[in-house]
Amino acid sequence: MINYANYDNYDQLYRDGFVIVDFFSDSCGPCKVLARYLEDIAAELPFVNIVKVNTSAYPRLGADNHIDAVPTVMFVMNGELKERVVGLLDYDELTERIGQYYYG
Amino acid sequence: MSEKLTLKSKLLRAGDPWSVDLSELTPHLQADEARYRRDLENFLRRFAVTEDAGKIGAHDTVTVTCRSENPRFNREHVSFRAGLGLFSKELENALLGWPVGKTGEVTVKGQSVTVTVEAVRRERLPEPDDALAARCGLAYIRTGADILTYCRGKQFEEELEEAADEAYPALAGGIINASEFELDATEVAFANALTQKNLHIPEDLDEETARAIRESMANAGTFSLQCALLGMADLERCGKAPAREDYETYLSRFTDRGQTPDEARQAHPALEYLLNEVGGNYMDGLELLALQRLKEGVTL
Repeated sequence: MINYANYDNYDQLYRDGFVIVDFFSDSCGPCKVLARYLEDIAAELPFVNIVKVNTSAYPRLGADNHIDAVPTVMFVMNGELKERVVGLLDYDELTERIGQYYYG
Repeated sequence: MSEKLTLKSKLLRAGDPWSVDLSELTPHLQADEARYRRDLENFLRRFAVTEDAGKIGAHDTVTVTCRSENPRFNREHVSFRAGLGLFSKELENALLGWPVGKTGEVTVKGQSVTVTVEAVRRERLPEPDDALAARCGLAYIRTGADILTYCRGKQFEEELEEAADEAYPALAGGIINASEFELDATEVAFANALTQKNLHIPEDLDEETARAIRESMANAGTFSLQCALLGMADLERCGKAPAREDYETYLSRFTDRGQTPDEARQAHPALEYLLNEVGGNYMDGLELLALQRLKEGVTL
């Protein structure tokens, strides 16, 4: 499932099960590539919650999470940050981390 | 029964949006087949039915309990999609073909794991046919062919959205030219005056250019009025004709900003609501239609 974060719902979305948080901006090319991979993952793996944070629309969410560049991806399990990656991850790199953090 | 909002102007006959020729504005793009197949599968998956299966096949969702000295494989009721390799590629591949209820040994990274298959669930994707199109709830997806067109164009969303910026006003113009209206003079004058009032001309623009812009926009209100009439017809078709309550809700936004209810009513008569909200939403819908129409230019 893909959810779009805003100032009101981010805290709740972040804590809900296994989450991939995708910090992106409107003008970022690699962010669009990553978005396609995340759409595929959302379709194939329903237990993965994808939270998209538009740092152009919600800059405070970017600042609060110390986002210096986009895309930045965070892997979160039940509110605990497992890994944070700056830059584009391909489909295999994303699923490898899902396996690692979801299944332990 | 709620009171419907109406205009004095009338829509006598609505043009067919699917008959407007957009060929000159349609980019010709070649889709990557593998990406198209994936996008189609992702689309169909939204409507998939999941059923119990007797034995494990590739991509089935499997629930097992496994026991091993390796703590990763010592757990109960763990679920995974077989063959994706998220849990363990070696273990998942070894389980292919196992029936529900079987308990057996597999070797993973040289260690023995005892596995009991508890459940196997299999996805059945629907056919991309007219029945699915009717139930998918997407604007302007009417047939199975429309679903394939939609998915074929998905990999070009950015390029097509740029093309849609030009295409949807052309689409609106084409529909209006093919429609018949009976316009009330007072409503036309109101709509034109509203357009003039809402024009935001930069202050640093020279007077001559500013005047030229005002003159060219002088009759744009007529277009807005026609869009409002077409928008109302669309809403009525869906059983959602704009009603007095919708207008009152619209007005409440202004009272939230400090206007009294009477001030809001004086400043924003129902006609302005119909022009801005109903006409505006109709144009937004045309943007989606333009996007779908432009995807017809995407080939494999």
